[in-house]
Amino acid sequence: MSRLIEAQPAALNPALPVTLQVGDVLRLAASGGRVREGSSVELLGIFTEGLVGTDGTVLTPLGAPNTVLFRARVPGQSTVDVVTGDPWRSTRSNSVTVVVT
Amino acid sequence: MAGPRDEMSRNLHSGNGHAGPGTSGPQGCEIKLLPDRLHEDAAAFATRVNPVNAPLRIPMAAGLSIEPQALTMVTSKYWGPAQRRLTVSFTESPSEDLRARIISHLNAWAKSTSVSFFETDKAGDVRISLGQGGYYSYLGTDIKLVPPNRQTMNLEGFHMGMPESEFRRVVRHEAGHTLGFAHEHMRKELVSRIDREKAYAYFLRTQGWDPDTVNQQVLTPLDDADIMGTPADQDSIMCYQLPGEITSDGLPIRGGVDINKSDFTFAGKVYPKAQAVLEHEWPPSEDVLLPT
Repeated sequence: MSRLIEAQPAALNPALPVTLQVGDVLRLAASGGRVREGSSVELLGIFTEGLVGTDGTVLTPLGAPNTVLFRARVPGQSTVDVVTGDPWRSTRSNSVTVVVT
Repeated sequence: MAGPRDEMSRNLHSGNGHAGPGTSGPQGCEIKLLPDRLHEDAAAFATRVNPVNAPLRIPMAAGLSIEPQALTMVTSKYWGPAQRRLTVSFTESPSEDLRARIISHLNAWAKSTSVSFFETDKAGDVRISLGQGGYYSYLGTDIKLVPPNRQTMNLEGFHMGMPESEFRRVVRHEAGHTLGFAHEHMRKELVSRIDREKAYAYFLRTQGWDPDTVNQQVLTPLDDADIMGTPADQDSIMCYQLPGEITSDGLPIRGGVDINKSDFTFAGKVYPKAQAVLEHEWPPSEDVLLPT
């Protein structure tokens, strides 16, 4: 079964690769991201988290995107950038190695 | 600064501002409200008189824009002109001094408005998380629709060691959203200063955003007809800072660092300290027909 794996960007160690299985989705609380190198993972998208309100409508807060999803496509190794911070003031970009088995 | 137009128009234009005989409550000017059955007709008439009176369409995430009529009738974000106390709780357990500091900045708006914030030990109207997710708030009365186990405002990582300037810039900005105020940098006058190709390249490089995300976040202006408020104000607390690297003239959009005089004035008109009242409602047979 594929897994939805949540990771805290601040807790990721650039020296320690994240190991995923094909089909896994990696979820990061971040304002942006990209695949820097490799094709074993793909960027599913950069999202603003919303929710279904008590009246059944979809509610979206006002703020920058705050969720980034990567999907493990095929076995191999990739490097992804994860952007955190305030997109309008100061951001930090960290590179993370992802190994897909 | 811009706000929820239809309800504000109702607030500001629906009466002669003089209390009738026998009125209790505060002395001086009071704001009269129309009966509910007349709101839609009054909004349509006001729009004919002046197109800038048209209801606000608030840009949401791609594909989630709300039609004006739906906004008018179902999802108005305005809290109304009456004095309002919004309760506040925290989803984590920050220290007492941090809770008090955050609430004091929420209450900065109370200087000119009738809205104030008070801490509660139950689930508040405003539920603040300091966890991951960046800075955000749901808009105006939408916070009442957020399930009670979810935060309505996020202030990621706020702590007592942060400079006062960040409390002023961020907490007061998010409180503005809670009052129903949209983003000032979405005003046409400011968006028109942005070079689209430069913006696409900049945000792709710095954030990895695709053009659709840049369009939604930066390049989709509010329609003039949707706006009620001050002239576009790059120093409003509701305006983000944008770099000169993406503007046509090379000058940055400065962005607000605190509630400015214009913000206070506009907010005070939208949420006047004088309480609005609906009284002496007349029967429908006495409604005046509006000219077509």
